Amino acid sequence: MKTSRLLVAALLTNSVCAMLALLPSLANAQTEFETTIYQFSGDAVKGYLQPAADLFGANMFAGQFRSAEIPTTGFNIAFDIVGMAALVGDDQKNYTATTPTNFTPRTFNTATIFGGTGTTVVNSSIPALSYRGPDGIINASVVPLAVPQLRVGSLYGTEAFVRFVRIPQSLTDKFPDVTLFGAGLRHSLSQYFPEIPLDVAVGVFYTTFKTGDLVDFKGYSFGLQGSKSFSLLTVYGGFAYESCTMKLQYTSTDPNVPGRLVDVSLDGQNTFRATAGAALSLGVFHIFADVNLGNVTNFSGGIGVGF
Amino acid sequence: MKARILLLALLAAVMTYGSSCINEGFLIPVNLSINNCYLVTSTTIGLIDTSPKSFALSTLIDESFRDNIKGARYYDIRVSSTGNFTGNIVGTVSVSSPQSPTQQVLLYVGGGANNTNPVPWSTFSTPQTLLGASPYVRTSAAGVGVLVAALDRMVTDSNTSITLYVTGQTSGATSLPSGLSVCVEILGQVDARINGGDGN
Repeated sequence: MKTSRLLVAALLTNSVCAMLALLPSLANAQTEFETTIYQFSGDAVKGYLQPAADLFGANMFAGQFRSAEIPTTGFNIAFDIVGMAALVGDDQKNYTATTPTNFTPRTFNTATIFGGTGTTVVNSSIPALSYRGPDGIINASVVPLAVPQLRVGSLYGTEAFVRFVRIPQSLTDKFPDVTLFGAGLRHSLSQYFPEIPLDVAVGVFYTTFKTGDLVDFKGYSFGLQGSKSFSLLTVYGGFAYESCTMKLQYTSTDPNVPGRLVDVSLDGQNTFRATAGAALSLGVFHIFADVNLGNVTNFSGGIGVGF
Repeated sequence: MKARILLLALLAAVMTYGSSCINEGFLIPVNLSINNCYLVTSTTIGLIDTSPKSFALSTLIDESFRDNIKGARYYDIRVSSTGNFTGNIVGTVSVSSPQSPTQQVLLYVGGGANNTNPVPWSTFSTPQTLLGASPYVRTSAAGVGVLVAALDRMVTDSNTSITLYVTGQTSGATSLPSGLSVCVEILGQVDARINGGDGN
């Protein structure tokens, strides 16, 4: 049990680490991370951070369910620690960046936030002039996230679940307040079709992530879920549509940015996911894991207690 | 027991991941803008006088980067004018530094093959830039050398500085209105090392 607590603590710590890296404003207002982003124009920051929006967004929607069985009535409650991990693809380590106005070439290939060393490009007309892209910040093959999730039901075959993480600035002198929130509803369809040999439910989910004035992430999903239980084992899966946007607002220090104000929205690449997983129930304890396939492949899993 | 071993393995993997997720010593190019508008203090047509302007280069970037500079470069020089004047101008932008105290021409500003012919003042109401392949500005190797050396010195000397001078000559009009300025902007990048590293 002590080991389990340590694992949860480590996962949560890594979530902060990943979020810190992905979302630079987690560092305090004067840190290098935030100042790093301020160097970017709107176009540049889009390319540099787009993979972060894709992978973080895919994680935010993972782990919503480990069964489609929702009792019609009665008090049911469960508490899960859900861990997610999105794979960083090679194509997410570089992007086509734009050089300053009138620079030749107009674009060059350089590192994203997940990439390696930034590329230095030399002006083809005047070789003395050169321009460099930033190095990648995160060295990772996966982007992790962990959230606590509370599930409460049931009323007419409907249950609600919430996720909430708040990291106050007072917890560490490095990070300002960070708030992750998610809430969803699931409703049993199989209650209307008792002849169906598996449990079926539909769900809707809304989630936000906010830190400082720089990053405002919002997203929603809805989907169809199914599961079949065999003694201790439950096999589950589903399909979902999802949409998320990471909004960035800041005053750029790039002298080439007209008005210096950057206001960009990064839409997460993942819009559809197919989920397949399995859960093991040992009394009130549960352990589960699943894979989510879509434009972004990610995995989720966790441990929980509940009935 | 197996579950405990699995959890310990997961714990080790997660903790290892956490310690290495941020690249050590990654470089971020920080925007650098060396700019000033030089007020033309002359009152008559002919040679124009402006006051030189010194720039402590590291003060032009965020304080948090000043002690972690690993490289620097410039990628454009822009010259523009403010104020209305119907005459012409030709001139130079020169540069010096404490290590190279002799003024060296950085930029010839004017028309013709050698950029030494007077051109209308209004030509510069739109910034003329190196990247824009403006025919009205041309760099000089000596001045570029002073500029690049000063930028390179930022790696080892956070107090390095340069001084820019604007000199020139007006013509083609009977009088010189007050309030005219010549603006010079050098755009560059300073590579700042973030999150420690070995200093390479």
